Amino acid sequence: MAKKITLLDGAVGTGLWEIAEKNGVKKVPVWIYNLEQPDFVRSLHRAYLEAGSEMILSNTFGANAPSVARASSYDPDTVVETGVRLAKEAAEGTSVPVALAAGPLSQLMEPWGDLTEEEVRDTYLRHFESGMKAGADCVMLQTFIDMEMMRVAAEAAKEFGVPVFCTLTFEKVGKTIMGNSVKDVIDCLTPIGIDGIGMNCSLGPDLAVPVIKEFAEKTSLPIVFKPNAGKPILAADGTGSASYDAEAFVRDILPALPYVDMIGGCCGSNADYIRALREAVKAYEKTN
Amino acid sequence: MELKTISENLQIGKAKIVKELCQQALDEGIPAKTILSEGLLDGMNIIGEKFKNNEIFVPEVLIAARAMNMGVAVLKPHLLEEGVKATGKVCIGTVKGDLHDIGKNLVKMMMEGKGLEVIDLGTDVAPETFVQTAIEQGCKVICCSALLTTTMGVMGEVVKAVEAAGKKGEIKVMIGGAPVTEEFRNQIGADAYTSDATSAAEKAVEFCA
Repeated sequence: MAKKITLLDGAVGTGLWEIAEKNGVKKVPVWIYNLEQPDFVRSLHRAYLEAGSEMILSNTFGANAPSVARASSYDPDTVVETGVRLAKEAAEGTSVPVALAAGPLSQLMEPWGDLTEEEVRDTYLRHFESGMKAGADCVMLQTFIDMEMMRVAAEAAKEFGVPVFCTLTFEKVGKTIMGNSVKDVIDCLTPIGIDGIGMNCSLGPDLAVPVIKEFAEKTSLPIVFKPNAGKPILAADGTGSASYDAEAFVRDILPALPYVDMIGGCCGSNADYIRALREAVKAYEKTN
Repeated sequence: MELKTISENLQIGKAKIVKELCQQALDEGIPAKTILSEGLLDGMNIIGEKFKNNEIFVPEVLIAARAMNMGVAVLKPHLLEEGVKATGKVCIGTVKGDLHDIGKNLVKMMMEGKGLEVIDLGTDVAPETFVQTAIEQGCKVICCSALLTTTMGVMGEVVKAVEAAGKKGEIKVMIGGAPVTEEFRNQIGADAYTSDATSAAEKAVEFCA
């Protein structure tokens, strides 16, 4: 039987900044755009849908309640609900599911930091409750460095009875900065009954392939892969420029296709990358 | 006693034992300065090297740093008495708009592990706060951390604020964090970019020399 790979979307964060920059709008934490520039968010989702994404992620990655409360006077629940609603609106009329995105909290959990497991759990429950209310179809936990925090988040997500996908960010040696190996992560998260596992961000596609291969060798769970576009080249004020290369991205990602079930891009990628990736995935599926 | 024992216990995060051994070494009449350099700082040096080489990870660094701090607390009054000065003074912070402090804290630990005095300005630090602190406290180095591409631009403002205060060259600006690169350092005219906490500490020592 021919292998089917689900095409995910590209970066939401850097993608929104790209749009903000083009429109002369100040770059702020991107979840603020859900309320202040909803058209940016909708248009980014649409661009990914047009490029062929078969699942899109809500603009809610960093919109956990403590972060929202620290950086703005907005209601965190409204930020998350609106983020999911905008993605649902963009996907209306298609069968493309919307994944509620959530990232790690900005502090470490005990014993390495001050956050208790209960605090972490409460924060994620609140995030997921808002997202589910707005109609999210599944949960995508991304860019975690600590599998224990991810376990707490994934357990909370599973209470909503939807598919939960988990991706962490790895160093070149195949461990997270907290020292979790691929095997540690699989052993820790599999019992929760998650629906997919893998890596995102961290490394460009070339350096990330060995880690993804290791995942595929050690688990029968679906493998999720969302690498960075590569290291961005930035202007002096920190603004991103289109110094990425979609062709190089796709070329570097090809060796990972035998191992993955869901693939997309992280920081620096945009709809051009996903379009190029779609062609590569199609060609791969035909021959395998 | 062999000060290597202190170093070894520090490396495996045995904070209580490190504290006891530091006291024991003092009781044996070993100068606090020697205990610091051959026991505590030696241990942190090894931790720094291993972290840089991805042989150990954040948790091991955190427990080692905790052990070092316990040891330093015991030595501190004696270090003052002996007139031992820090190898240099720096201030560090995560730049304005950015609240991520895991990386910044690691750099701070590594710097303290090199015997530097580190003033921690916390997160969300305005350029003028960096410069004002450096001038008032006599810091030779300002260390700026950022995790977000939206906030790393603030590092350029810190460089400009140092220039505006007429301290260019006298106070060095070091930058680091996930999105930061050498190209970026060059663009904003900062004095150094380092890619990991250990290298940052080494560079700061160099600037303070």
